[in-house]
Amino acid sequence: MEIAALVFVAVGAGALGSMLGLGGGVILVPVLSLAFGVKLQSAIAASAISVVANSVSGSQAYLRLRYTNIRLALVLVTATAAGALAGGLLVVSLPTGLLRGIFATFLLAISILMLARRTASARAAPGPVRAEDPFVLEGRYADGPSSTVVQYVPRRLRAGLLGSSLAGVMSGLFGIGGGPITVPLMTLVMRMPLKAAASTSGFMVGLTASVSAFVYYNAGFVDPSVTVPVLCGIIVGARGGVRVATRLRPDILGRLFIGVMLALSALMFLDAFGVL
Amino acid sequence: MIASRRRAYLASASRRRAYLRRQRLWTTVLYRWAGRVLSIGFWAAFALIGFGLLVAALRGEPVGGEVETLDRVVPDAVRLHSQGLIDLGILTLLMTPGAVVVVALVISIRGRDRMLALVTSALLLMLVGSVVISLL
Repeated sequence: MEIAALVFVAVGAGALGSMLGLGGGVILVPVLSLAFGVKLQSAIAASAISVVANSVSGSQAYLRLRYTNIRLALVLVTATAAGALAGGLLVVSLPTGLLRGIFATFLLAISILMLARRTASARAAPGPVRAEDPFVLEGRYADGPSSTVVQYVPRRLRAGLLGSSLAGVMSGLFGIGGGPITVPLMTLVMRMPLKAAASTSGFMVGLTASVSAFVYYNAGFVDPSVTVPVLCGIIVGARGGVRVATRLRPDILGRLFIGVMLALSALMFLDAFGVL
Repeated sequence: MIASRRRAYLASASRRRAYLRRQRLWTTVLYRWAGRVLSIGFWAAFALIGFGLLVAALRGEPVGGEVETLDRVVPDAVRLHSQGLIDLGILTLLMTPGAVVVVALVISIRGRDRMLALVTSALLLMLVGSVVISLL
């Protein structure tokens, strides 16, 4: 019964994670530890492994559809990895309660900004591709059932790199993955369509999570009786999430993303004030 | 630095067109191979985990507790121990994203894409460095 419930929760986390580029860890860790009584270390390890599974599974389809901008992902994830290393070092010397409060406020501000702008993808609607793209980071894919061609060139690469390293620092500090920062960064600052941003972020999150998951494995935190059912659910959810994301209108996907961000922000506030 | 040199090189329209054509071609190769590597890693991992679960069910072995230490995973998987097979599957999954970076590095070198080669080398160094530090 408990295994079935674990699989069921993981299906939901996998679907949301692959649709929104968040990886699913933000949902799994609190649910596994609070609802299922799994040891926090095992919950974090299972979550990190399932984020990798989610990314590997979802990215196969997104790469085929060309939603994922792989060149941009490799560039940005380098900054994220460097930031994550710095975050891992900072975590021992900074008051995390205060940081969680600041981060929760930051997430709330991003959600409000995205809400105010309606959908970032609408603002980043396909326009003429600028001639200046020295690193050939342009993206092009067919969107939705009508296969509308969406073409874009990510803007403000420097700001993107800076933001990605910040996402890495946050990831190292709180272990939530960089998705809640990189997706808004790519849509609001780099003006990418939301679907491209979410799938590119999903690919990046998998890369960074693979290192932390390996560390957890080596430390003996992985419990196969929790990880295996979660993995099974994540795979089903991720595949379903890809199908839904390719059919969903960008504005609906945007609203869903904002909803998850607001929920995450509320969770972080509760955690910062010691309620959780 | 690289960007400014590249801008100067690409000042000529014909050079720019040729350069873009070549980069787009290699980017297509990169997409194809990255997808293949992810697919192979994914299915190999889940075949190993599935086989491990099957072995556990047939032998009545419990699935749980702690994972094997790294030095025991491969020998136990070769001996068809359920725990070894499951752990090898998990490790295969964890190595798959890193394998994509290796493939990207090889493709960027073959495509003479210095920027991507530099980025993927730095990324690979950081990934390997983090893993090595965690093992110490």
